[in-house]
Amino acid sequence: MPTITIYDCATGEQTVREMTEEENAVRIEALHNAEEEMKVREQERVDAQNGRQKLLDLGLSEKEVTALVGPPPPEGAPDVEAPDPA
Amino acid sequence: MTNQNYALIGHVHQNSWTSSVGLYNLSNTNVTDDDGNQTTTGYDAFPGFRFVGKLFFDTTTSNFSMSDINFYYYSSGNYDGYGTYSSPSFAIPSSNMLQSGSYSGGNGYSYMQWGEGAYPSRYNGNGQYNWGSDVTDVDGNTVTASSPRRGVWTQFVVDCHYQNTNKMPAFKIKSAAATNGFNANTTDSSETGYGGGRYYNGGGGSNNYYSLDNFYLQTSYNFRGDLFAYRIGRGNYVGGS
Repeated sequence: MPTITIYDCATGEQTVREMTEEENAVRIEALHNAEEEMKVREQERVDAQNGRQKLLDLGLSEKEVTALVGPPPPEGAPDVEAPDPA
Repeated sequence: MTNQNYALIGHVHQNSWTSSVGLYNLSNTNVTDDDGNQTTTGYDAFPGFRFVGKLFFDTTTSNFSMSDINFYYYSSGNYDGYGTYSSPSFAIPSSNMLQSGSYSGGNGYSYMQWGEGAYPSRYNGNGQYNWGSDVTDVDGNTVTASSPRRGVWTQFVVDCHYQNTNKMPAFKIKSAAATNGFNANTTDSSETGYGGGRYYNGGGGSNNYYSLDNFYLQTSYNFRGDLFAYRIGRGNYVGGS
């Protein structure tokens, strides 16, 4: 079971203990929600890139596409093996 | 210094990695003024809360989703199970508020999701920190660009106030972080005024009491840092000398 640091304001005591079943259930739900949210966001990024490419394929210029739908979406996760220099 | 109305009732200095920190018994702490008089941090005398902190995250992910970082506010008293739901938003107020629920008493918790208001502490998610070039600190030590001391801290403040005699709580969150570039050669910062969440209210039905007694931070990634809890009094109950 994961641990949690608790500070009791009434006593001034700080303890580290294992989570209760309820606390751990809330933690797992939050983790699940985060994973689902990231999947949705990645799909939105792919859709935006695909839509932009279709407009370019129709013959619009980069500036025209940006004027219509805004700037291109950010790239995906960086390449951990070959990161960009600062 | 004369007596004040802000009481620092709790501080967690979390210097090892964890994913959960809690501050409990927020409404059951005694404060003392300069004359030795004691006042309990209950709702009548102390209707306000403030949570302040700074966080450093141990992850190589390049960004957080909103639900990666959560605050929970636990009730141990009666409340009306009438929740206000808010979608994640950077606007104040959130553009999407929905009230639903029923007038039923019980115990529960409100929560905030605010991951998009925070930054992972490592540059570009690649395990480095990379804040410019090497520098010398005030003690004369060289701090390299890749030192963890150059990592990004996220700071936050949450205010909560019981705004009338029905003790309906209102929450506000603001966070900020800055780095010299998650994209090459740019200066990026992140700031959010609001996350999404569910906020339980009291006062709409038979229960006019909502007891916010425990607060804790729960994250998907390990962190270290500091959290402070304050109660804000109607009068100057807190010794200042």
